[in-house]
Amino acid sequence: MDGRDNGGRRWLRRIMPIGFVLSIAILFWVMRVPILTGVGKSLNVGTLPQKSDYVFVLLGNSETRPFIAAALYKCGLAKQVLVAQLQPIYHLNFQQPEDIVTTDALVAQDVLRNDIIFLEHRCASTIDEVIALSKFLKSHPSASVTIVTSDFHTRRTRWTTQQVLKEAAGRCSFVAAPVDGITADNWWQSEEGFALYVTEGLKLFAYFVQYGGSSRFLIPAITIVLFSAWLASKYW
Amino acid sequence: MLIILIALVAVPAPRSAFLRCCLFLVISEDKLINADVVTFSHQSRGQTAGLNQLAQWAKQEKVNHVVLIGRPPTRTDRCQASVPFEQLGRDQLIRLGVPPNRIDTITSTGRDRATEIAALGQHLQQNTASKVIVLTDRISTRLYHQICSSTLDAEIASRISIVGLPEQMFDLQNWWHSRAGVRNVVIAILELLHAYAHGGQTVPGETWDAEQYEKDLCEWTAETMAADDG
Repeated sequence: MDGRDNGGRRWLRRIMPIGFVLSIAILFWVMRVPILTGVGKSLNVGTLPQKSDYVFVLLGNSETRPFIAAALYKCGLAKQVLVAQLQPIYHLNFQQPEDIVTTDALVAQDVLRNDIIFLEHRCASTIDEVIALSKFLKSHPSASVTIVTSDFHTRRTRWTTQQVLKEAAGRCSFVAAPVDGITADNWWQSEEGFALYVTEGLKLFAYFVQYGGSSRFLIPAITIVLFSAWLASKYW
Repeated sequence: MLIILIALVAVPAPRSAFLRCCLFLVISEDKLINADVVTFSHQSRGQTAGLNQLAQWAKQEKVNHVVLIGRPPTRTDRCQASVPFEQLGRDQLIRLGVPPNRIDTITSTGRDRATEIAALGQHLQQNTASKVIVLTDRISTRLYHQICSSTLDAEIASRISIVGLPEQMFDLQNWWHSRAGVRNVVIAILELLHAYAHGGQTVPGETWDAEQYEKDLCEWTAETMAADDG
C-alpha cells in the first residue's frame, strides 16, 4: 500500500513540472494578444514633441524619421537638424547610403541645407550615433535636443543616451516615429514586424549586458539558470 | 542534459559545432541549373555581389533574362530622395555590360517576400519560362523555399531553383564572431520561424500620412504656445 502511495507521489512529482509548463504555455496562448501588445508598447518611450534647439534624426528608417524631424523643424520646434554620418564602408554599395537618403528627404521637405549639421563621428550603430551626439553636446553645453527614432527603438535609444551622456541626457527628449504598417498592436503578424521587434528586444538585452555593467545581473542570472537546470535534472 | 548544456555554452569546440549546425536551419540551396530567367530582389542582402553575379551569368549566356523585383515607390522615392531598387539595379547591370533588352523588372505590390514571390509567380504564368533561378543571400534560401511552396502552385514552384550568394559581409562558417553575422543569422532564423508559423501574411503599405502629421503638429504647437502665452 505504502509502495503504491510512494509510486503515485513520485509519478505526481514527475508530472507536476510538465503540468506547470503546459499551463503557462496555455495561459500565454490565450493571453497572447495583450501580452505581445504590451511587450511592443514597452519598447516605446517616446513623448510629445517639445521645443528644443536641435532635432537629431537617427539613421535607420528613412521612410518616416526624416519626415517627423522636418515637421518639427517646420513647426518651429527646432532650429536645426542633426544627422550622423555612416562609416565609409556603407558608401561602397551601389545603393544610396542611409545618411544621404535622410539628408535628401529633409531637403525635399523644405529643411534648408544650411540648417542641417552633419555630426563628425562616423557611425554603424545606435551607440555610435549617441557618441556622435555626445561629442556635439560637449561643444554646445547648453543645447537641448529632440531625438527622433522609430517607436520600437526609443527605449534602447533613451537607455543608451543615459549611459553615454549621463547628466546631459536630461537635455534630450525622444519623439517616436511610426513604422508603416507595423505597430505595437500587430508586430508579430508580419515577417518584417516580427524580425524588427524580436531583434530589438535582443539588442536591448545585448546593450544592457555590453554597456550597462553586465556582471551586476549576469552572474545571478547564470546562477539561477544553472540551479534550475540542476533541480530539473534531479527531480524530473 | 546539464552536462550537454554546459558543454554547448562553455566549451569552444562543441559550441562552434553547434553554432555552425544552426546554419542548416536557414540554408537550403538548390543546384545551379541552366535556366531561362534569373531573378534578384530588393529584399536580398548583398546586393552589389548579387548584381555582379547576375551580370556574369547573363554575359556567359547561362541565362537569357534577368528579372529584378522591386517594391512600390516609397515615400523617399516619391520625393526623389531615393531611387527604386529595380531602377538602380537595371542601371548597374547595364554598366556591367548586360544588354538592356535582357533585363526585365517587376514591381511587387507589397514589401514582403510573399508578395514578391506571388508577383514572380504571375510573371512566370504570363511568360512560360521553363526554369527560373531565384538568386538570394545563402541564409535566406530555406525561407524562399518555404515561401515558394506556400505561395505558388506546385507546378510553378517546381520550376524554381533557389541559389545562394557567397556571403560578403561576414565569414559564414564563423558567423558568431562578427556583429553583422550574428544580426543577419538571428534575423534569418526569426524570419524563417515566422514564415513557418504565419506563411504568406503581408504587411500593409503606407499607413502614415506625413503631410497630415505636419499639419496636426503645427496646429497643436500653435495652440500650445497660445495657451502658454495666455
